[in-house]
Amino acid sequence: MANMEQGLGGSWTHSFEEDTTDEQVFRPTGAFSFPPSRRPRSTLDFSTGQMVTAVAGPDDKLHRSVVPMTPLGMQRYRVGEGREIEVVQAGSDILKIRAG
Amino acid sequence: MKTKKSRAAFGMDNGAADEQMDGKAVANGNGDSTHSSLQMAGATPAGEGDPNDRGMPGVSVRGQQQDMPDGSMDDGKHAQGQAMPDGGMGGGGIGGGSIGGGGNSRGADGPDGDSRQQRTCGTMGVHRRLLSTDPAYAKTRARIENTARLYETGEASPRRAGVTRIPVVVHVVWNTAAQNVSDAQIASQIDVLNRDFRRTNPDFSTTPAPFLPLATDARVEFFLATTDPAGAPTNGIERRQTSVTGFNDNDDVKSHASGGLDAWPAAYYLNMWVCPLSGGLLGYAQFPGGPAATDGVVILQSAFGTSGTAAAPFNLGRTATHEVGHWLNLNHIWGDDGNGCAGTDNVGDTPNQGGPNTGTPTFPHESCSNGPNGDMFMNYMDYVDDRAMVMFTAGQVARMQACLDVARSTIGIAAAIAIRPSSSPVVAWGPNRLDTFVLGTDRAVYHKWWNGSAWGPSVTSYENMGGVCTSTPQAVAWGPNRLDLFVTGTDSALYHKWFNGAWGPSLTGYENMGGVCVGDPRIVSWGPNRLDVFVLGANRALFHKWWNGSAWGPSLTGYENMGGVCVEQPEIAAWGPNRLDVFVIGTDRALYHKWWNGNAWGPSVTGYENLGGVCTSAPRVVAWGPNRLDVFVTGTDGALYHKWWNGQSWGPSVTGFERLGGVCIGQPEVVAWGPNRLDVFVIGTNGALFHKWWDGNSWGPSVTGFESLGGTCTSQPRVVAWGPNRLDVFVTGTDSALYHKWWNGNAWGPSVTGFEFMGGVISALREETAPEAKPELALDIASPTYLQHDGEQLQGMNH
Repeated sequence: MANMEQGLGGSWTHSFEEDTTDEQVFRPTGAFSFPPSRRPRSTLDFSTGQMVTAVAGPDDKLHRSVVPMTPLGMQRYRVGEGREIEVVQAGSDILKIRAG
Repeated sequence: MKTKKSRAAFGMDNGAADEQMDGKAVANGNGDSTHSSLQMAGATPAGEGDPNDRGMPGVSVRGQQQDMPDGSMDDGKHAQGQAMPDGGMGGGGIGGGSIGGGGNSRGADGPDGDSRQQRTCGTMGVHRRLLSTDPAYAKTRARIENTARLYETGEASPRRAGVTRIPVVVHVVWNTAAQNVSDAQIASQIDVLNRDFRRTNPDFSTTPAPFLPLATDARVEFFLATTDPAGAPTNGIERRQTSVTGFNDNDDVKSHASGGLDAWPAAYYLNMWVCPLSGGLLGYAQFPGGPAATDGVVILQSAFGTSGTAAAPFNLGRTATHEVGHWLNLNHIWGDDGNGCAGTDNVGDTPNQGGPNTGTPTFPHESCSNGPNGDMFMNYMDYVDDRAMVMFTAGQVARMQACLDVARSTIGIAAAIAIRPSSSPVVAWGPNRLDTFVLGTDRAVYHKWWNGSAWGPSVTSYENMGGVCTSTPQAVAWGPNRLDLFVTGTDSALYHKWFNGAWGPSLTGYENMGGVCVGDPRIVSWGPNRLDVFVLGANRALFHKWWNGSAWGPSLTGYENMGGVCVEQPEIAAWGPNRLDVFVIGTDRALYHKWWNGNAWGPSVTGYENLGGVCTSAPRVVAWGPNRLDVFVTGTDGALYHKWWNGQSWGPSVTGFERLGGVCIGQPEVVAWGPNRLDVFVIGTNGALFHKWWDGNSWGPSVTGFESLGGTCTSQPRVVAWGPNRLDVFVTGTDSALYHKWWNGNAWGPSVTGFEFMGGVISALREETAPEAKPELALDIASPTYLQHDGEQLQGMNH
C-alpha cells in the first residue's frame, strides 16, 4: 500500500514467544528464524495492507483469514472493521504493536 | 421360563420329514474316491502307525502318557477349594455438552485473534460443516457428548473393561528419501502412545503436585496392525513416494488420487498418515463421527516418533499423542476461544484457561483468574513443546472412553477383524445383527434374524431352510452380510449352504461335502473368504477341510486326517490370520491341543499336545486377542475349569486348570466382547442360566461364584457378542421354544432373570452327541435334566 507509513514495508510474523502482557512482537517473515510451534503464526503485511491471521481449529487444522489494514495516522491502523492496533516500536528486525 | 407365556399357533408342516437333504443324491459316506488316503471312516484307522502321533489315547502309536490320575482336575494355583454343593450356583448381582467437538470458537483479543467478521479464506472446520449439514453426524456428536457427560459425572460407567488395544496403520507418504521414516521411528511413536495413554510416561513425575491426583490412565494401547483389511498379514505400515512436496490440511494425503494413501476401514483401524506438511503445520486430526475415508490423524514426519527425522522440540512423539486425543474426541484445553475465558473443553476437571500455552511454561502460569495453580499447561491437549506435556485428566479419560463406546465402538475389538468366534447356531456378521439357526421337529433348519430394528420373519416365526439334519446347525460369518452354514445329513455327510445376499445353492438346498461325520461340525474363519471345517469321523478321528477362497481342500468331498480318538466334539479358535488352535477330549478325558502356525501342524499332523485334566464336557475356547486363548471345560465334580495361553505359556500350568466353581450341566459357553474380557455361561443343576465374567482384573461375581439369570433351560446357552459390552443369549425352554435375553451394556433385558419368548419347537440347539459316542462318556451331557421332550408331542415349527 503506497500510503503505508514509511519503514513498515514488508511482512512481519508474530513471534508470540516474545509477547508481553501489553505488547505483541513481530519479526521479519523471511529473515527471522522462528522456532517450530504448534501454535500457528499470524502475519502483518504492510506492503499489501493486509493482516493474515492464522489460528488453529479444534482439530488443529489451520484457519486463515485475511483482513485489510487501514492506516489512521500516528502509527495506528484499523484492522478489519472494528479494531485498531498501534505500532509502538519499529526497527529493522522487530516490530511491537499494542491492541487499541 | 418366567416371561411370556403366550405362544403363536403352531402347525407348520413343510413335508420334508422323510427326505434327504433337499432331495439331493446322498453321498455314500466316503466322500471323494480320488482322495482315498484322506477319507473318513472306512479308511485306514486314524493315526495308526503314524510316527508323529504322540498324544491321543486310542491310537497305536503315541507319546508319553500324561493323563491325570483319577479324581477331579488339577485346580492349579488359583484354586480356592470353594466347590459349591449341588443344587445351585452362587448368586450375586452384576456389579455392576454440547454438540460439537470444537468447543467455542470466538474472537480473541489482539490482532491475530479476531476472525469473526473478516474471514475471507478461512476453512470451516470439517466437523462444524458436518454439524450443520449432516443430521446423522450431529446426532452422533450429541450421543458422544451426552455419554461423555454421564461418564464424567459418574451417572454411567464406561462399557469397556480393562485396556482397549487399537490396531494402527501408518501411511508413510514421502517426497524426499529422508522423509521416508524408518520402521524403527514408527515403532518409537507407537511406544510413546502406549506410554502416554497408559500414564507410564517417565516424565509423568514432573506433573505439578496440585494436578497429580487428576492424572489418569486412559486405558488405551496401540499396536501396528497385523492384519490388513483383506485379512492378509501386514506389518501395519504402507509407504508411497509422492510428488507433493508439502501437504496441507485439505486431506489430500488421505487419498491415493491426490498423492496420498487411502484410509483403511476406520471402524477397525486408527489411520495415521506421516508426511511432509507445509505452513508450519505439525499435525491435525478428525473428530469422531466424520467420514470414514478421512478418519484418522496426520503428523508431520519431523514431529513423529522419537528418532530418525524427529526434530526438537517436537521429537518426543507428543504431536501424535495430542492428535489421537482429538481423534478420541478431546478438545483443546483452552476451549478453542482464542485467548478468551468463555470457551470450554467440555471437561470438568481441567481449569479454565485463556489461550494456548507454548514452549515450556513455568508452573504456575495463571490466566482467567485460575490461580493459584493456573493453567494445566502440562496437559497433552495444550500447545506446549513435547517435553512439557505429560498428562490426561480423569475427565478427559471419561470423554475418550465415551468416544470408544459410542462413535468408535468397533475399534479395538479384536473379534471384529482378525479374531472371529468359532461356529455356533448363533452368529453376528456385524453390529446389531443376529442370525439364529435351529432345527425344527422335522429336523429341517429354521432361521430367524435381528436386523437392528426387528426380528425376521417375526418375533416368533422362522424361515424354513430345508434339509433333514442330524447335527446342530453351525454358522460362521467371515464378513458383513456373509454366512456359511454347515450341518450333517441323514447319511452323516457334511452339508453346506451360504448367504451372500441370497442363499446358495438355494434357500432350501445344500452343497454335499462328503464324509461320514459324528456329531456337530465345527468351523472357524481366520480371514475373509476363508473357512476351516473340522469334523469327527466314524472312527472318532479328527478330519479337516478348508475353503481357500476359490476351492475346497483337499477336495470338495475329501478330508485331511488329523488323527486322534476324540470323545467330544472338537473346538477351534483362530486368534489371527492363518492360525488355528484345535482342542479335543481324548479317551482318557484329558484335553488335547493341536495348532496350525501358518506353515505346519503342531506338534504334528496327527499328533496332539496333552493339556491334562479329566473333562466331562467338550472344551469351549475363545481368543480375546492375538496369541491369547482361554479354554473352559467342566470337571468330574461338575465345576467349571479354565486354563489359558498367554502367548508364552499355559496357565496355571501345562496340565493344570483354574477351578471356577459351580455344578454345571453340559458344555459351558464363553464369548469375549473385548480385549481381556470374558463372559462365561453355564446351566446349573436347577436348569437355570448362570453367568460369570472376567473384567480384565478379576472374576465376577467371584472366582467361584455365578450370577443367576433365571430360566429353566433345556439346551446349552448360545451366546454372541455383536459389539463391545453387548451379549445376546439364546436357550430353549421346557416348552422347547427358543428364548432370548440380552445385556445392553447397562442391564439385562428383558430383566435379570427374564427371557424374551421367540417361539418355535426346537429339536436341536445344543451340541449333538452321536450314539456311537455315548458309551464312552463319563458324563452324558444329554442327561435327563437336560432333555426337553418329556414325552410331549413335539409340534411343527411355528412359521
